[in-house]
Amino acid sequence: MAHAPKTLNPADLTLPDPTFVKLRNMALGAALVGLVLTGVGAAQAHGQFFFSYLIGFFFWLTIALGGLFFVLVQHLTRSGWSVVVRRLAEAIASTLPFFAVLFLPIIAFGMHDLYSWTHEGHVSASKAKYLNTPFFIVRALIYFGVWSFASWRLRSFSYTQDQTGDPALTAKAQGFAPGATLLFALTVSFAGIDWIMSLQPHWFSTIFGVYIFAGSAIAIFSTLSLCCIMLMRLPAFEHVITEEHLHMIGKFLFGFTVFWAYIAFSQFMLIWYANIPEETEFFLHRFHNGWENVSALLLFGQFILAFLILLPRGSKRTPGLLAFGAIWQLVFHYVDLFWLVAPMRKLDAHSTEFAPAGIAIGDIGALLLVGGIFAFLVVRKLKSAALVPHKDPRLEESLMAVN
Amino acid sequence: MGSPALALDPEIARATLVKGDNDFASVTNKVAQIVETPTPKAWFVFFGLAALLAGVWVVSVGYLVWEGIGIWGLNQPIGWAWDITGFVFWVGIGHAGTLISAILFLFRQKWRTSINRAAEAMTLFAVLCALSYVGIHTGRPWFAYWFIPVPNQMGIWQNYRSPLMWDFFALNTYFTVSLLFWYVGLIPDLATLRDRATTKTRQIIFGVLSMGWRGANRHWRHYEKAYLILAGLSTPLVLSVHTIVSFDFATSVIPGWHTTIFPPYFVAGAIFGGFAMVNILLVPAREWFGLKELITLRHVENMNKIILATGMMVGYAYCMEFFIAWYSDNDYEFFTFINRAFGPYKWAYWSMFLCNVASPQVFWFKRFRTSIPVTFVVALFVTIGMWFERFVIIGTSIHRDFLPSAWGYFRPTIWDISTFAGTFGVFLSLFLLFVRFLPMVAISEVKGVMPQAKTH
Repeated sequence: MAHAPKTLNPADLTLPDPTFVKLRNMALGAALVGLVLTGVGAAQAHGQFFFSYLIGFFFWLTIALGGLFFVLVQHLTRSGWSVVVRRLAEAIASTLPFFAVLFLPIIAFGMHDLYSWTHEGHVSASKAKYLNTPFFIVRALIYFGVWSFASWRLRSFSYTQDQTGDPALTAKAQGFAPGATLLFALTVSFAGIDWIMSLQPHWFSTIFGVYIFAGSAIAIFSTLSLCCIMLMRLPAFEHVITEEHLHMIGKFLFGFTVFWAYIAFSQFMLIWYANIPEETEFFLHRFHNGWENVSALLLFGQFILAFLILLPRGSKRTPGLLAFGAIWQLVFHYVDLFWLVAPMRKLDAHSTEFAPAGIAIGDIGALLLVGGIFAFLVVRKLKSAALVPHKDPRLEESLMAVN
Repeated sequence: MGSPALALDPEIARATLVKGDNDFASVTNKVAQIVETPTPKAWFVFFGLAALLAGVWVVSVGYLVWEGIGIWGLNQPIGWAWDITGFVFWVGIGHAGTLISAILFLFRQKWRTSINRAAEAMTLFAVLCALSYVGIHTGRPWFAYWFIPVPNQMGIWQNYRSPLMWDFFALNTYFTVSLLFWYVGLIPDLATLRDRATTKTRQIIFGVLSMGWRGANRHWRHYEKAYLILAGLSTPLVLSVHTIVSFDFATSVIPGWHTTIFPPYFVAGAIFGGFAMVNILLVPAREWFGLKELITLRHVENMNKIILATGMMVGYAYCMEFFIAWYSDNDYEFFTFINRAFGPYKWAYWSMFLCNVASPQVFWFKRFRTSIPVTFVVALFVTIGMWFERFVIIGTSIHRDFLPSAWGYFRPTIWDISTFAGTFGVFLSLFLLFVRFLPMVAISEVKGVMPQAKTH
């Protein structure tokens, strides 16, 4: 059983300067390298660069959205165990407004390359009522507006409580969470439909929004595991974030891994079994041209092996093993998004032929570029306040949490 | 470090799970005395009514076996109607019991302890009702063993590619695991009843049932381990059973049946309908059996929150299906949904929508979540709504298929109605027997969440 220290000193709970500088510089370095590779990739990719950018953008966005989901659910369920790790998720979700800026290149330059429905006469007049550029932009504004507002509001309750210690703020967050969760579910689903599903504008699947959500849940629990393991190495956190918290996060990571597989299987199984051409189109692209290997990789990586890695109790309670499982799942979450987007790449801007499976330099560039910016924003946010909401009324419950 | 506000603010403080001035002995007394005191007259009245309704079921099924499924209102093109609706309705109800006993256990939700026993019993009885439909809907229940792969001289085997086959296996697995889970949980309490028995007969019956439980350290360790393993096994079953039920429809190519969101949507709907049934059963039970201090308003409120949450998930699925039907640009797909909402079955569609999506919205307000009459009424609405949901999915998708010349309309016969009403008789009779003869609250588990359990 964890033994909480007598008092938590807020001054100890901030990110130490050397760590902050190191992390910040790493993030900026990654962004810089990413920028160079992005430039090289864009020059090489013959008008197909924005696929790379969309994957990189969406990968980090799903982590940020996962962060918002995590904070929402903790308040929705009046959770006690998670107080000591909530600040991390709050900082991760705080990046959401910046993703609106990172989305601008797609709107400004990428629409034509990415979305065939922007081409004249590619979709029917009735479908063009939904899939048209102005409405697409309006919807994106709504999504970013909802996410930014929700993450800001929940964060401000929490940061204000650090100053005032007013437990009523916790009650306010609990009151805010249910409605925000509802909007979150709708916006994430439709963002998934707009940005990813409409890459194949004739294809449709009602479960697609849930699939995107499942991936972002894997992403956040992996990221949180890694952040917690890093913080645990700071002396001040010895009795604050413990293996008990890792265990809980690990269980959620395991649970959502199974959930993702369940959703992915449901989608595949029903489309395969019914075998209707307009639906099988999606899997047909991913079972040919080298993509069949990526499909197999996803099945074995993100589910079968991940299941076996994360199943034992020990791998959730041992920092090294959990870190391995978390990095594993983040890698395969990237593979998942890559698998969703990259098969739609053409050979070049004028070709109608799809490119075979393969990684472009731009893929790595965009991943590092957006990732570097994302990490920089998170680290800066973490430095701006205590790393633990130390006046949360449920802090003690969290410190004493056992599985 | 615990701030005093923690104890004051009801929005933040942890609710006491057992109210009143109770200790371990009084909890045991409260629950055990229900089955130890002489049977109240009211119980006989209720049981008589339920048994009468169960008799209606026996007559309906008897006539069905005699005459064949022609006594139901099935026609071309509606070859599945109230039978499969009733089947899905009852399987769904079962899911809440497993969610409470297994998933909430894994989530360390301590409030589950006072409701899990009754909810699991409800699961078993609901699954029995569902299985009865599997047996009778073919019209030749004496061939029901054909579901089972038995080697035979004809060399004929089941069609393993049929979801109906998977359904049979899924349901049987579910029933078996739920029964084991329920029974393992019962053992310590059966031993309590044995130890308190005042007559030889009770002592022998409960003695046999409690399988030699003495409450030894080693017994408890094995018990806790078995309980955790069974909870782990039951958790995927909550998802798999209704997923496979949804496959019965979604693997087809029928617009309205074939859609990828069906698996999670059916699971959410099952939990939604199941919690409503738990409320229908437990709200009166806590009143009549004096269990208000164990099944508190907080428990009722939590269940209402789950009803609201799962109701919203179901609403999400309704809207997503409708949106994608339009987005798909597929005329048949979109027609099916327009036909659902504005065709001859619009009354069923809007009943479903009002009951399932609109009625739980009152639970946004604490006042209604903690109001017993509102809880009960909404639970009734949800139960009705979930029946309509299955009927809308099954009936409206096939009553107007690809050939307008083959369109039809389903009218239930008296036998459709009596068979379905009869299953309620079977269900309620079994539940009344359960509350009369077995401890309806898990005594030992409730003690574990009382402050007295943490003396160190």
